[in-house]
Amino acid sequence: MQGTRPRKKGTLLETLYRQRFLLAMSLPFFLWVLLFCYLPLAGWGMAFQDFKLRGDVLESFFSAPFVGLKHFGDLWEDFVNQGRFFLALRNTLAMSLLLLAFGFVTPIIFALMLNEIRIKKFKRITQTISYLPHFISWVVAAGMISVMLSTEGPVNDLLIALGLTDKRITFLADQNMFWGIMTVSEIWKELGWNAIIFLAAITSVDQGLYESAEIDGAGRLRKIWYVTLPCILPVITVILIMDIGWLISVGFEKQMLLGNDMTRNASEVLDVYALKYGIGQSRYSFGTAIGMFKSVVSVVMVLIANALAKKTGETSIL
Amino acid sequence: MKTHLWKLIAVMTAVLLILSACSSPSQAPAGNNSADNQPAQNQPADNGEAPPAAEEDDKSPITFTIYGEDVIANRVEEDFKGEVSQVITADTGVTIKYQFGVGDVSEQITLMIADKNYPDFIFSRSHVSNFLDADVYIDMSPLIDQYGPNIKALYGDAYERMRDSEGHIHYLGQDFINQINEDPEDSFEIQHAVLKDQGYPEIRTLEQFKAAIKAYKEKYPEIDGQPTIGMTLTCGEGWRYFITLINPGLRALGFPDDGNFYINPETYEVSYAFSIPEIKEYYRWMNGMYNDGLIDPDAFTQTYDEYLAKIASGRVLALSDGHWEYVAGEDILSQEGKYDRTYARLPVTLSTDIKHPAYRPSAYTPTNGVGITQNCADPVRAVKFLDYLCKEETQILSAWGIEGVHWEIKDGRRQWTEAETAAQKLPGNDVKTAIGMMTYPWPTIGGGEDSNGYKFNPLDDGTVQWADYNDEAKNTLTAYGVNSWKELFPTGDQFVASEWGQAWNLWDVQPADSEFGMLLAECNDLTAQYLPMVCSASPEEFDSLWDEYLSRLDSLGVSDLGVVATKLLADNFYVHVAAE
Repeated sequence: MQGTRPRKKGTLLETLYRQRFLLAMSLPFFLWVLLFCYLPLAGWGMAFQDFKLRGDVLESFFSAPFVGLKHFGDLWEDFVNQGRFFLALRNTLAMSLLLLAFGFVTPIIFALMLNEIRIKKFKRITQTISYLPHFISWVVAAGMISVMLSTEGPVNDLLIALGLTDKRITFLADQNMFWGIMTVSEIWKELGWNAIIFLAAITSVDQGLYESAEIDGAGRLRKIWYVTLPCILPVITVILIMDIGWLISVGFEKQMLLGNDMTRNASEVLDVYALKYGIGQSRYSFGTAIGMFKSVVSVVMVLIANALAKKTGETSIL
Repeated sequence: MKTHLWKLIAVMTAVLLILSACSSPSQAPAGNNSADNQPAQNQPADNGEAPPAAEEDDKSPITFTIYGEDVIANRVEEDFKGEVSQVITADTGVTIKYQFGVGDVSEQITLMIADKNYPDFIFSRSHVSNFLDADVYIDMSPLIDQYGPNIKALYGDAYERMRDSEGHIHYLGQDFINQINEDPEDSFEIQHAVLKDQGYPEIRTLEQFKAAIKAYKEKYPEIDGQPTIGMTLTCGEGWRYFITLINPGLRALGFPDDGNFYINPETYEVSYAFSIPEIKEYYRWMNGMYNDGLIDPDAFTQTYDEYLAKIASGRVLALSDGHWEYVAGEDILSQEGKYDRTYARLPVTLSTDIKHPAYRPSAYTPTNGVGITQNCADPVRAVKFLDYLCKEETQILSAWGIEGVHWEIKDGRRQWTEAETAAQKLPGNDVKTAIGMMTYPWPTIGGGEDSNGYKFNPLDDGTVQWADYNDEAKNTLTAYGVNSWKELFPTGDQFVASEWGQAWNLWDVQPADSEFGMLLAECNDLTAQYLPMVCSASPEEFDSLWDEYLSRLDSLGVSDLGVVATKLLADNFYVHVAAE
């Protein structure tokens, strides 16, 4: 930057000494990250072993036989044969992509629409109501959804009253509907909450831009398209990159709570699969292999999204 | 400025110190444990100096802890101060402290084993293999030889069955030693109102069962303003589909509850139950029920709570459940006085030549129970305590309470005293008296008579049951000319006993990470997925869907499953059968 003095160059030790208080302050957090985020990574070693818990954990860990990539081989074989792991991976990605496609765009549209409302009170009330479901836990939300969608529930009543169907639909027993139910319920739950950040971004848009757009004869829609959206594009990009990083971690509570044996082919996601066939069967090594696979995929996806964002000239967060 | 910084650093250091102090408690219990273990290793050595035979029974106060994998509903007595417990403490000096499995039991047990932080006794059901693998239990057999004559007397022939393949005894069986005379737990159930309306018809086969439900539903399409439901199940949560969807199929064919397996009684050959051809017929019946609109469309997806709510609304005409599972819904009907909506239990099977297996006898099945751990400070006292529990007097004390206070001998049989009968209606009485607290899972005798010819178990008495039935149940029983549901069912002597015991226990305790555990989980998952589909398919699709199910079972390796299961049975039970 112009105006600042050129930095005084010094040795590393001098820099460290100069920043000693800052370093001391960050030390606890550094230790925290080391202890809770990096140390547990040593457990990844299990993915290359045939780990069996026999008494002491550390003892079992160090005495377990090394089997190399056997568990990853099992996963690959299952994937090729289109077995449970393949289905779990497919379901995870499908539900994530659906959520990314619909769940990412809707809060932006919702925020833009809210922003256009002139009546303050109505705007506030709408916003509050829209983000309330965010604070309900999935256990409660799943209970509500399953009552709503039961054959004697209000959704069926409504469809029959409207004459759209004459036979009551068993929504939760139909695996073709499962992805849709998941996507809609996730959007219902998180729409208002996710819109908050876009609303905040919209408020920081320079009002002068709107005025000059008006002078140029822009209507409402044109102002949204040519002023609001470009101004909040950096925020959208950052959120998108972060969402892509979460792509493979679609969560498992809602799938576990609303899924059942009949819809398993559509509802079982990677986390549930790892839980059932990894930890649930005391196959710690297998579970670890799935976890590792997930982490690696996540990192790769973030890097790709970040590179894409850089290329298109927008901000990058890494 | 500078002083401020120093203050800040002082605060930071304090925070760090607190943090490090907070992290140490995780190690502290381990430290305490090893301190606890110290006397543990010394004590037997001290005792060893005096010959055990000359030793007086030690009645000094001692506290034993026990971990129970299930929350056992009646163990609410926390301080072991109930009336019965006080007698036990006076006799032995022992106080029992309970810890229960709560939340994620698997995780809790894994942590317990990893920390070597287990109590003196452990009662585990489905995690026995985890404890056995980690060598948590001591071998009780030499101690029982020395100190446990009453244990041997109580278990009788079953005692030898508790040994593993190396002759060790790790735990005492949890099941009642003798079957008691009580109503069937598993049956097909139908509302008294339906039977009354149809004039108490004979209902012995699935077709008769269906006809009664169908006729009633057509006559009364609504109950209390809501649509009538013919029959409902609960399959939405984890293992529950076993109870209402799988077990009834096996029962309808007269098979005993050996898990999802069929055991050939002559050859002891085991096969996965769904690979036997006959079982298809039960699900064909279910398919017919579904297509006639007699099965609730939500049956295969609803949760247990929704299931109970429907039963409690009184509009579910029939069930195929275990009494223990639906009773919570039925209780609400009783409280509201809707006795005609409670359920009769019927011995329904596929055809009249099949006997309902509710009372099919089986040899004693000691696959889990209370065991003593390596952490127990004084295994000798622990075994002596178990021996004390197995004494005839203690068995009566645990089940009935104190003579003269809780029970008396009147009219030639042991009965509750008037005061106790009145008190039993009050809440909290079980905690005050502690009657029943030291029965299951501790060694408990079920049926039979003591040396004076009086019944061991308060439930083992026909007259008690008759008073417990509600008026509608009494009407139904009278109409069928019997005094209890049990009398409707084939008696035990009509069957060949299952020499291997109740095998569902056996599959339960197999290590989850074994090949058998994996294969079984995969086959069960497939079954859980296909059975609802098969039941709710159109009648034309039924056969092709069933064939698809069987071929997928085959490709999973269901025949290997049978081979491994046969070997498991041979290793665990056949040994004893051959030895006897």
